[in-house]
Amino acid sequence: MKSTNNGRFRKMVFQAFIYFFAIVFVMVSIFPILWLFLTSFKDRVEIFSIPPVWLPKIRAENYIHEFSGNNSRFPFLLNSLKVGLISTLFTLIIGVLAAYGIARFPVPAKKNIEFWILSVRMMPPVAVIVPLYLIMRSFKLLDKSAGLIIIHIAFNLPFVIWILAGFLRSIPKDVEEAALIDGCSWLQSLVRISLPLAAPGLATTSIFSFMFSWNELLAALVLTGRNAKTLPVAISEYWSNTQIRWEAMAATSMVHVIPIIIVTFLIQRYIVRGLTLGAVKE
Amino acid sequence: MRLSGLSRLQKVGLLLLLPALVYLAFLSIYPMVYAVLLSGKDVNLARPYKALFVGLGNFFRLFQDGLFLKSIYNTMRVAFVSIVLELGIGYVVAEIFDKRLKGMEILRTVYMLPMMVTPVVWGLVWVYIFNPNFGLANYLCEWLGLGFQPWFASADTAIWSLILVNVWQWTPFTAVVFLAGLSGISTTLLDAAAVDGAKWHQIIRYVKLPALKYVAMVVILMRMMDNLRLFDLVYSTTQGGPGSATETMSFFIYRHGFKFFNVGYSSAAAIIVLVVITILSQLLIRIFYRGGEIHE
Repeated sequence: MKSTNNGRFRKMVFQAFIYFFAIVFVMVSIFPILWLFLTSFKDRVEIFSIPPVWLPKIRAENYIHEFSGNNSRFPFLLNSLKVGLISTLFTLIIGVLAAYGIARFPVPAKKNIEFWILSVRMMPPVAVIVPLYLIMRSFKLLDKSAGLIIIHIAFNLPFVIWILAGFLRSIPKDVEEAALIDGCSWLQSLVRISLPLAAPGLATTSIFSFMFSWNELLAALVLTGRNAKTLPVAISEYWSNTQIRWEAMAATSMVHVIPIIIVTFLIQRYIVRGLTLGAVKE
Repeated sequence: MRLSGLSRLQKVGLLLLLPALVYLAFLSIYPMVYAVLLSGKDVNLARPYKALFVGLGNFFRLFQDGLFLKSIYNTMRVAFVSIVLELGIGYVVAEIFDKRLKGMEILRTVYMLPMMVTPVVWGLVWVYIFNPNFGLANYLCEWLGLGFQPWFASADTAIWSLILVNVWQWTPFTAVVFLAGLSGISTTLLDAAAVDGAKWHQIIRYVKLPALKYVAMVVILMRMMDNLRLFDLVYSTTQGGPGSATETMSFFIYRHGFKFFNVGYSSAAAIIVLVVITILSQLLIRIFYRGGEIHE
């Protein structure tokens, strides 16, 4: 009797120990996010005060100031949305077709094609950003959302093809074959059978594609200016050698971060799979 | 390859792939060839006169350019130290989150948040926390008796601050990948080891670590490639400074291309990064295939 009690006690201590460390790691991870959130409510005096103000009064002044009036960041938020949504839409259209081809058809030299698509994904944007800039300049697409959309499609297409092909492969073939025997064309079988079955995969992939575009800095920084600037570029502009408007930076950053927090919870089951290009599954 | 020799299904498959392949070729192969051509020229967008062909001249200049060499050294240092720390801490975190207790899944998702958000935001947030005069970090340092720290403001500590932020943001990635690896180890194997009287450290050494070899290789290569193109974080924290203390290869390319408009010189540096990353990515893809996770 005594020994089982002892065992239960040891188990409880062990669990408490695990919870304690889990919570410490989570705190370290989200503390900067909380600090950003709190900073977004502070005024100039509270920003510089020592000791720091831990809990400022909740007020919307910084948000209103940054997202209204002449110097509003609102157009850049719209640019980010526009670039993210349109590039995701086109990436999906081109990507679904290609993924379906890879997953279901005996394409010649398939392995080499897959290999090449994956290498494009791993190509460092910084290595081609100068040529991309010059190409966009010759097409008169600098500082236009269209220019950035074209580039983001190229960045995300390999990812979408690769991940979607994985999702499509996991659908049993016989469902589709039955449809084909019943006289459906391959296009009908894709649209009516495979895509609805792959709907969770399709949703996850679009969210990832949107998120990559929403977060992208380098191309947006180089290719856009006053008109087509996206939110990450607008945030980076708070950086200065001398004086940064911290409360403004925090408010604008929060607007950028909140959608990502929501999205993270939506796709949590697929994050590992997505970020390792399907190499590691949960 | 003659098209007429293909079956109908093969043709349909190719047709489906065609738009993607054409698109990617135009936006990857073409710019790469363009970059190679630029790297052989002395061309500056800010100067009106014509580009001079210099052959490998830009590459010879690069390897005598102290700043470029420094940028390689800094990049390697950041990559090496970050990856070692991320692997070590990431494994410990994975072991903790692997215990199936109530609420663990929510904690794990919250823990992942830093890596989902663009580094630009985190860079600025940490610059605020690390502000030597009114930042939270120094307030805590004083309170703990660690004294004043210059963080990003001094050439000696800037690179370590950068590594700290990098490790903070990406350890969750290592951790969740290890976690996926751990959950793939069969419980019968672990039970068998326990029945045979293996101690916890023996289980880690002889059962868990060997089982994590594949995911560890994936993580190391992916993080290596990420660090080679490390740009956003540098741009939003130090911009390569103070002096050249945190100049990285990507920032060097950016600065020469878009601050000095030396696009030839910048492209030559870009080619070097491209070659290194291509070698690493080929390695990674081979491991993907050998891991058998992709080609059933």
